[in-house]
Formats: sequence, structure tokens, C-alpha cells
Amino acid sequence: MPARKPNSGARPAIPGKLAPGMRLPRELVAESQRARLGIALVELVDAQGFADTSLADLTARAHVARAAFYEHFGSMEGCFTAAYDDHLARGAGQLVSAYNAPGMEDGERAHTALSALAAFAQVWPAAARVCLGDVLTVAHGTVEAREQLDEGTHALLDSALGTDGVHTTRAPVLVTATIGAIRRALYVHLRERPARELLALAEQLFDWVCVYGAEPPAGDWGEALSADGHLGAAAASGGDMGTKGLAPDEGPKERILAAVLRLAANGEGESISLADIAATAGVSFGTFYKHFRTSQEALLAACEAVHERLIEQAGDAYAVALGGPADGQDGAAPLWAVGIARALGAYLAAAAADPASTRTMVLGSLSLGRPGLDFLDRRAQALKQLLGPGLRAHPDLPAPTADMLAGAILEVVHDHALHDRLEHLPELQEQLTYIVLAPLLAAHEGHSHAEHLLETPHSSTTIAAKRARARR
Amino acid sequence: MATPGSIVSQASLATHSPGSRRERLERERLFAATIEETREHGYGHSSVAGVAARAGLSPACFQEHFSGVEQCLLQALHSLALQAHAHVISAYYAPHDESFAEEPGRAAQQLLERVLACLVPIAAATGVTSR
Repeated sequence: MPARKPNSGARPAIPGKLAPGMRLPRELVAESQRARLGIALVELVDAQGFADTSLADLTARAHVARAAFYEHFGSMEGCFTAAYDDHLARGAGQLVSAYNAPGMEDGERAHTALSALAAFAQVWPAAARVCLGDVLTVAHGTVEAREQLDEGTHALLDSALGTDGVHTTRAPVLVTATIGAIRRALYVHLRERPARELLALAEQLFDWVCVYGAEPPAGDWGEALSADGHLGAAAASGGDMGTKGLAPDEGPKERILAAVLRLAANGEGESISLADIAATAGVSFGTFYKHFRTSQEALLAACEAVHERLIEQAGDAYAVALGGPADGQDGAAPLWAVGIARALGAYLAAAAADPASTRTMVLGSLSLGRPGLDFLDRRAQALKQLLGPGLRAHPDLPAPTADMLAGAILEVVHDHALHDRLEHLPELQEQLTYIVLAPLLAAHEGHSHAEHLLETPHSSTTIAAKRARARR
Repeated sequence: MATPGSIVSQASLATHSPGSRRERLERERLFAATIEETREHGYGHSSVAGVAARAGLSPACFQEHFSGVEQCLLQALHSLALQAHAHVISAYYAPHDESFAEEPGRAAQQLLERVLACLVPIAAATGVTSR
């Protein structure tokens, strides 16, 4: 049979076109159209991104007339929101049903729920990718339903760790970090690996969650975790991107980037015009075009500059902690832990020092669509490199650990940007450092020691035992 | 075999009815819980209390959405059938993907998996109801 070509003339009257004379109820036709539009849009967004998907693409793919589209939705964003909500609600339904299945103990519920989540994502990977990634690029990510995620993650943590465990004192940031870790690990897996291996990832995610069942002990761990307490002054002093990396008097390119950040901070968002940029930066159009092709390109470059500044400050703090370059300290367990703790503290302090620029980097970049998602990948990659010494010291750690930890950090920063709380990021240093270091240090201390540490303080039942039961 | 018309008449077409995000979430939780309950225990042994407990909702909340397990199950199956149908349509009208030329079965396999994911619960639930 010859390959099917798009737009190559009439198609057989199956299966989208309702045959004349079937007299299907009007409501059924409407329902079918809505379902087709939702599924077609998700497929298209997964293939080419939301920004590059036109209404013509959608109506052709869903086999629905343009007029019929407007009977259901006011805009493409509205259609996407409905499709996203429907898919999320369906996934939540299956997850909750699995979590509440009768005859399970508490520890098993989290395990079953994570497996149900993986199984749900496995069925329609395109939708999972869109719900984990592309959704952030639609309407600056405000489409996303974060409240539901918070609620579900609370229940999951309580199930895995016990409602009276020490994790409850860290609950707000641990919930956010867990969402980020699950989101990032699933997203990366769905892009790079076969969906059928998702169930194995669910096991690794469950193990990751279980690490947070106990406080870290004193000694080397405590030293590493408390080291961030000394970071504040040094990190914050170098954190002002407006005076160091993007100074207005450095040159036309730097002035353009500073102008873009200023305009974005003033709420211009993606509608920043070239004229505004040129006027604010005090450069001509010709000078602008010498450096950038479009205002979007300039916005992305400005976001990259902010990101590089944060990473640079984190790297400097790491180097100071170790007394040498960050990359040369593999294997020195206490040192890399202290280095990572300090780097993380410097990262948070620098992000808080210029919240407007950080907000543009986090949210403004996503308004660029797929380039914004690619930038998010680069941010994750840079964070993974910062954690590299700890990860490389334990090659037996599950491969997704790096993505989980990077996702946890990214999600906490993203959440604070969304809620205009970036100035408060340094207050999370201790908690976030614990979240990042606990899995690495658990691996460092070795299996037997890790099992000892994973004992839940207020229960005679260990997490390891719960885990074993859950797997049975 | 049930005709689309008969499903519609009994399910009263509420799958995409307007409502708040929370209401939609609750309905989907009840759908999933109903299918699991009927799959495990059979339709005859499924109760509103059991479905509501599995959905993490109260029986009163169940009654706000559905008159009984039968109505909930029918609407759940109706929703799944619509999903399966829409997946087929979207795949059929997808632009030709050159990458599939190298693996001719891949597109068909992906579609089949998705459609089966919708149809398997229907088969399971309807099999239970008919026994």
C-alpha cells in the first residue's frame, strides 16, 4: 500500500466524518468534536509546540470545522486548558483510585500511586510530555493546576513516610521539591527512553521519596548541612546582576540585555517591542540587529545571562568551600557535600538578590515556547553539573537521581517566582540543602548505614520494611 | 451491541458538562473508582459506598454527581469510548511522518496501545456486568 500523503485529495469517509443519515444526537456530535479537538491539540503540541500550532492545523487534525471549534472554545488557549484539565483529571482519578484501593497499608499506597501514575503516562506518552513540559509555555505557565499537585503530593509523602515523621516539619518545600523531582524525571524519561520502562522509574521515584523519612544525623552530614548557614553574606554581596553582569555602561549588547530585563520586569512580557528596547537601551535599530535578530532572541539572551550569573556565583561558592576549582574534588565526600551545600546557598541568594531578573529568567523565558523549554533543559543541566561531584562519587545511584535533584531545585525556584516570593528563597537554604544532599549522602554512607538512617523516628516500622512490603 | 444512541440516552451526556475544575476532578475520580470496583467485585457487588471510598469522596458527594453506580459506570464507559474514537480520528488525520517510514509498524502500534487502553477497561467492566 502506498504511503499516505497529507492533503492528497479526498479521503475515504472513515472514520472522522459522521455518515449522513445516522441522526446522532446533537449532544453526542458535540462531545465527539470536543474530545477530538482536545486529543488532536495535545498531539500537535507534543509534535511542534503550542506556539507553532495553528487553528488550521488543529481543525484539520481533529476533522472539525473552524466554526464548530468556536462553538466549543473561545481560543486555542481555552481548548488547550480544557484538554489539559481533562487529561489531568483522568490521571488524578486513576491515581486516587489506586491510592485508595482497599486492603493496603499506608506505605504501600504511595508505591501503588506512583506505579499508577507511571502506568497512566505510559499509555499516552505525548500527553504526559505536554502536561509535564509544554504546559509551562502556555499563558506563562498559569494554565497549570498546581493546587491539585500539592494536595496529591502531600498524601503521597504521608503514605510513604508516615504522617508523624520528621518530614512534616519540612513539608511545604519537600512537597514542592517532590513535585519537581517527579515531573523532571518523568519528562526526561518520556523524551529519551522507552515509555514501557516507566514502571522501573516509578520504583526509583519511590526509593527517592523514602530517603526523606528521617533527619540526617550529626557529624559529617550535619556539618555539610549546616555549612550553608555561613553563605548568606558572601553570596548576596555578589548577587546583583544589574551591577555586575549586565551593567548599563559596559557596551551596547549589555545595555540591550539590561533593557530587556528592565522592560520584562515592568510587565511587558512577550510583547516587548524593538522600539522599546532600543529606546531603553539607548541604541539604534541597526545596533540592535548587529547583536540580535528579534526581541525574542534578545529576551532569551538576557535570560541566559541571568542564569549564567547564578551558576557562576554557585560555582565560586563551591570553589571557595573546597579551596580550589569545583571540578577537581571528586571523591572527597565531606568536601563535596559542603561544596554543594554552599553552592546551593549561593544560587538561592543570588536568585533572591535580583528577583525581577530571576522572575524573567524563570517565567519570561517560558513565554518563548520551545526555545524556553530548551533553556529550561540547559538550566537543569547546569544544576546537574553543580551536583556532579556528589553524583560521580556514587555511580551506583539510579540514573534519574540527577534529574530528580535538578527538578526539585527548579520547581522550588519556579514556585517562588510564580508566587512572587523569590526574596524568601535564602530562607529555604537549610531545607533545600537537606533535600538535595540526603540521597547523595545516603548513598555515600553505604547500604547498611542508609538503612539505619531511614528508620522512622516515631515508628518501629522502617521505611525499608514498608518498601519491601509495598513491592510484595 | 449497544448503539451510540442507547449509551447516550442512558448516560445523559454529562461527560463534558460544564462545571468547576473540582467537579470535573471528582467525576473522573468516581469514573476510575467505579471501573475498578466493578472490575474487582462485579457490578452486582459494587456499591456507592465502595466507589466513593475508593475515590476518596463521601457517598453524599457521589450522589451529587450520579443517581447510582449504574449511571456512573455508563458515563465512564461512554467517556472512554469517546476517547478511543477521538484517538483514532487524530491518528488518521495526522500529517504523514517520515520517521514512521523506517518503522512502519510504530505509528500503528502506538495508536493501538492507546485505543486498547481505552477499550480494555470497557471490556473488563462490561464483561463483569454481563456475567
